[in-house]
Amino acid sequence: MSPGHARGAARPERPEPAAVVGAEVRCTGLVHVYRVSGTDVAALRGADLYLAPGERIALLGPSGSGKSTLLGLVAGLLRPSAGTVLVDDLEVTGAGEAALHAYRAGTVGLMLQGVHGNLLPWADPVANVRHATAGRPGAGEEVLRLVGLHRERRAVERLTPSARQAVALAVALARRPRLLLVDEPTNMLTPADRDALLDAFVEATAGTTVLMVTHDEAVAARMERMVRMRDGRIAAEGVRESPFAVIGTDGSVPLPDRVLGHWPPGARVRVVEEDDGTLRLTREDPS
Amino acid sequence: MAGAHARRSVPLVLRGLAARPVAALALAAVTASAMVASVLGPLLVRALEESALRTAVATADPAERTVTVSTYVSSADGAAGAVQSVTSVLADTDIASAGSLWGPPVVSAQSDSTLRWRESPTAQATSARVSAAGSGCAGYALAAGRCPSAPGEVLLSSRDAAARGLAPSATGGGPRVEVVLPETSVVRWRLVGTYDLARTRAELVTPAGTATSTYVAITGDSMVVPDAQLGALTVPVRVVGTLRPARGLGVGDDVRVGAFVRSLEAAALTQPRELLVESDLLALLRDTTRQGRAAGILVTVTSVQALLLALLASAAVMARIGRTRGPEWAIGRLRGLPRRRWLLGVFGEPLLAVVLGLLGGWVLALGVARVVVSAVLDPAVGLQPWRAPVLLAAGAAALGSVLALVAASVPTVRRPLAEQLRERAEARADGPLLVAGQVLVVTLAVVAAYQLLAGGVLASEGPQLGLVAPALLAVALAVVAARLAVTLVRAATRRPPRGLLALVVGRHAARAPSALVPAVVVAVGAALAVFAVQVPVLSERNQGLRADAAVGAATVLHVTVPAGRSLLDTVRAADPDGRSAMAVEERAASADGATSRMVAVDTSRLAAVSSWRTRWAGVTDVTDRLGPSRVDPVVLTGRRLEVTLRAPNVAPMVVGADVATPRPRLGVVVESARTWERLDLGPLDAPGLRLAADLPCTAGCRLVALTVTGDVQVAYTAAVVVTGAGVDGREAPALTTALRSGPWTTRVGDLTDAEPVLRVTGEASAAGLLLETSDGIGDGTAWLLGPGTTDPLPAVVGPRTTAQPLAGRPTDAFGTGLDGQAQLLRPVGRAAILPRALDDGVLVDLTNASRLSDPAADQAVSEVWLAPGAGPEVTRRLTAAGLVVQRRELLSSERERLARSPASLGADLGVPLALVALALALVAVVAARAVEVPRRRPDWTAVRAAGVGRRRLRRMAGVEVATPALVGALLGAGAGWVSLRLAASRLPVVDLARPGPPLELDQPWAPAAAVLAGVALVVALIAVVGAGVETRTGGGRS
Repeated sequence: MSPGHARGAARPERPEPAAVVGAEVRCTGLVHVYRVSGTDVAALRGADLYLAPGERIALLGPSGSGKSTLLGLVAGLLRPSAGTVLVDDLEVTGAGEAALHAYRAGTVGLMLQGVHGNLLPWADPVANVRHATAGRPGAGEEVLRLVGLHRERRAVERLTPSARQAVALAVALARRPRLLLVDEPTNMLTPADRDALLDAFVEATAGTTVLMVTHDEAVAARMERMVRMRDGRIAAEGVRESPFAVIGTDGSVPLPDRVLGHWPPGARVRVVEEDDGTLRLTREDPS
Repeated sequence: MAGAHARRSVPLVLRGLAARPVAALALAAVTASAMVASVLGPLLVRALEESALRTAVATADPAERTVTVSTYVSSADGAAGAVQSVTSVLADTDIASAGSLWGPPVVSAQSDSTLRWRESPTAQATSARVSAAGSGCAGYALAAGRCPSAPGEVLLSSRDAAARGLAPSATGGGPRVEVVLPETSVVRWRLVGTYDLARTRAELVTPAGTATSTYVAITGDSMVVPDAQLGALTVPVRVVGTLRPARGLGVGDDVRVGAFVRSLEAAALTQPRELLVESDLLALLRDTTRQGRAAGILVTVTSVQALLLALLASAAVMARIGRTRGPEWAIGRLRGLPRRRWLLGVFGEPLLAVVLGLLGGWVLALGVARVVVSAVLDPAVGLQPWRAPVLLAAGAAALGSVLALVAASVPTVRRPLAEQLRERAEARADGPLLVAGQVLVVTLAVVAAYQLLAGGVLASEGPQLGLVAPALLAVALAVVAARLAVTLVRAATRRPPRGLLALVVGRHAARAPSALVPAVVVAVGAALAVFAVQVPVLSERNQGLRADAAVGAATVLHVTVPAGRSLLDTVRAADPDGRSAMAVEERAASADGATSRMVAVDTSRLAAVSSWRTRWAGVTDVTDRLGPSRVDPVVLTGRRLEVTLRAPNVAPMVVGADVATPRPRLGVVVESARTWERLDLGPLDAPGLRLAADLPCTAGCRLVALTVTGDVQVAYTAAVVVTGAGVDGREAPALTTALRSGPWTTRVGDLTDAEPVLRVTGEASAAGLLLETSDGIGDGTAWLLGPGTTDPLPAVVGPRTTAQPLAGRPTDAFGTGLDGQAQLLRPVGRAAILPRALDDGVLVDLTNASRLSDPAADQAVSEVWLAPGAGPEVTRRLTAAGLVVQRRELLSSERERLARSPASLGADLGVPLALVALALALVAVVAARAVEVPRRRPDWTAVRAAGVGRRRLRRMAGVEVATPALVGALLGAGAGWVSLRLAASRLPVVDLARPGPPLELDQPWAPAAAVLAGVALVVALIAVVGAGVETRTGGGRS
């Protein structure tokens, strides 16, 4: 039992917290260019994504495909070069510091990669959760209880990687966010730890809109949707065997990976819509 | 459970502090150092001023510690009234209102001049003052007998009585002492008692050996007679009311004493009698306060620089903490915590460390100040920690530390959240604020260096950047060096590295240039230390030179010379080698300042015996230029002198029937038995043209001059040839030769008009001495000085000596001889400083000066200067020759006195302050590195994992720590050295307001080398130990 529970024994029982209503997220035409060693690099080249309230989406893709950048834009950590992110009624990409502060305090929960971006490494799990809730008890302690860390007194930097990730998840959920943004939550975990964490994750995030960046198909499979990114765009959606291509706001359709080799860049294609709605692509090279 | 609950109730800030004690300790240590550096300055300055006052008051002559109301009277009737006036003034002035400043006043009456007394007609006379017994000898400590009450009774000091074998008799019939009154009449007083000088109030009597303004040696303690008896003497009496402080005086008492003296002066004006209020005490207090303040500049300046260094160190450590904790601080923003809570997360822990550091620093500062004051100043001097300057300094340290904390944190806090969350290399380019700051520092350093080069007085008033030149130059040099190093390292990293060391350490410097900031801190610390440790050496050296000039020799004996004896001859006989002792006569400046002090030395021994350096003379061959004439004086031995004349031509200057016939008379002046005798030879037109006079020269005497004296109110011109001379009927060959070859010199004396009415010239030729004279008034005596005299008297003048010019004699100046008579001087050089006379006086050759002044009228004090190696044998020979040593001055005592002077103490106090600053710089190096360890440790772990041996790893870590610090120390030492070279001539290493020899400012290299070696050793130790700790595997917190 946590100290919070012990202290609350003499008090009137707290009412059960109301169920979380997830936020709606709409990303439109996101472009993000940053500068590295004097060279402009486009991390996002017009990405569109929609998350319905309470929907859980896994964002997959190779390194450099723009997953974390997209997450950073939704979190309000980065400003896009173009495009918008709308979370409910808040346009995150154009919001001021005060609005972003309120957004981070009340709407969004973040679980970034590594310990240092999420936790006070010298503090124990409960202290970390309390720090995130400004001292008030919150949902984070329930998550800790779920993973059995509510009595852990060691500093998080001394815990196992999976325990740290669990604490980070608890901290991200401490304020009962309506939108949870998660970056590689199962990185460096054993499959067993990963599954245990995902179990807790799924249970704790019921009703919350979730955008999770991961490399792991197995992790992504626990989400409701799997969105794949490639070269700064949303490339496909769905399972690996039969993914959907996703039409961008500019009408572009990325080719699936498996046919990409046959359709080299610069090839001329005739697009014909059949009567039944099928699109027929015919390659017409000059030769 | 209870334990868990207790742990939960501990604020997160405290838990963070407990979890990461190293960073907090580092910050607290640096902050404590800032407090020490800040508070130590005003504490030490005040202690220095207090100590200087205590020392000055304690070592001053008793007369200098008084406030007096005095008046002069010439008879008994006046004395009674004078005592009443003085008492009345003291009573009218509200002494009580001055708090506990003054003790009870003492009113005394003493003769202003000395009377000579002896116990028998054949005994040597003693010169002493006469004091009034007052009411029942109050204030006198009677040793035997009783207080004199009836006329003719006297009280002597027990030591005088014992030295002369006199025993008092209270009942009558006691021994009588014979007292010579000014009119040379003799009275006899009966000794009825003795007093103990040591226990008698100092105001009532004048002990033997007391220096007087008239330089009449006082050889006995005061005789005490009934008041009426004193009044009956026809000598001037000085009635003095004396006040002495009842307690130790402190800083600020000069104002109270000044106010009191003004009130005394106002009260004195109400009295019908002219009363003089004097306060040597006030002058002493003001002078000492001035010296204390001047000396405090060094301490203050070092303290200010130490504080700046401390703040820089605090900022460096805090910036390092900020860089390490950036991600942690970002979490608060990421979670949208309330601003107050977020600020608490960022600043709570460092602020707590700062507060603890400030409190600890305050206590430490008091402890360090106590130790320094006890070791350097005076253990009895108390610290005054609650004075406004100390509290202000503490406030400045506190405010500065907090501002440094905030300023150093701001760059991290202001970084975009996404960057803050990532641990990444520092920005390649400095922010505009940082660049502006660096440019400002370099500009200020240039301005400071220009100020020092351009000159000007360093003072506590006004913006004197030159005062903080060491720190500014060090920072500027180190900043430029750091930027250069980063640029070079970054350029080097584009090429393949030459080795692992260059790869790991060089890349770290390139990616994290802030790691070089501690090197800047070390540079400032080293600059301050090198600057400060050299100052006391310069001070000691120059104070020593001042003592050398002020005292004149290792030992100066003030002696009385037996009548008829020559000091010069006696000393030469006692030390024939001329390497141990030198005769000197010193005539004081006139009271009105019109005549400078004259120091007459035996120039042939000056270089060997005196501590005064001939290089200060302003001329290269001072001995030759001042030295006596190469022509021997004419010595006459016999009973009767005869001269023969030829062709006398005497005529009245005006023609008329009623004009009297002039009959000028030829005379001769000889020096016999240490006195000049003027002998009248007769009128120039004497029958037979042979003149004669009796000579007192059976033992030989020196011919001083031939004189011609006219009749009263009979103006004349005369010319005559002195063809020959004889003594006791035989030819006097020396004189005859002199008549034919000379040289004969006109003595100008006081005939300083452009067209003097009295003239005389003498021209030696084979026919004899042609003597021509004229007197426009008559009754004047023209002097023609004989061979062996040098007139005008060659003299080296002091830097502030006013050479009064003479019309028609551009190379000469008007002055005064040893006998107080007018004497023409010929300045041969202007010295930087003169022995004993310092900046205002003249230095002459004793032989020359003696030949031009009557020994019997000598107003000079006789001295014997002894060289350092002079053994007791010399002194024994001197005393055996009849010299009586009245007083003894030691060069070592003067050096000790100057070593305790505010200037020396101020220079000394800069050292502990600078060492505190240096220690602070080294603490900053350790602290900054300790904070850095968690960030650097993974790098070492990765290198170790790549197969690099632990030893090599340690070496790399050591090099990374030591190299910047050592380079910083080297640059700082250079900055300190250069700053001192530029500023030394204007630093108060001595009391610059007082005259002294030119400052010798060759910088000693040993102290600077010692500082540098010490820094290198400590840095090496830090590097070795630190490298061992941080390359150890395993986690760690900061």
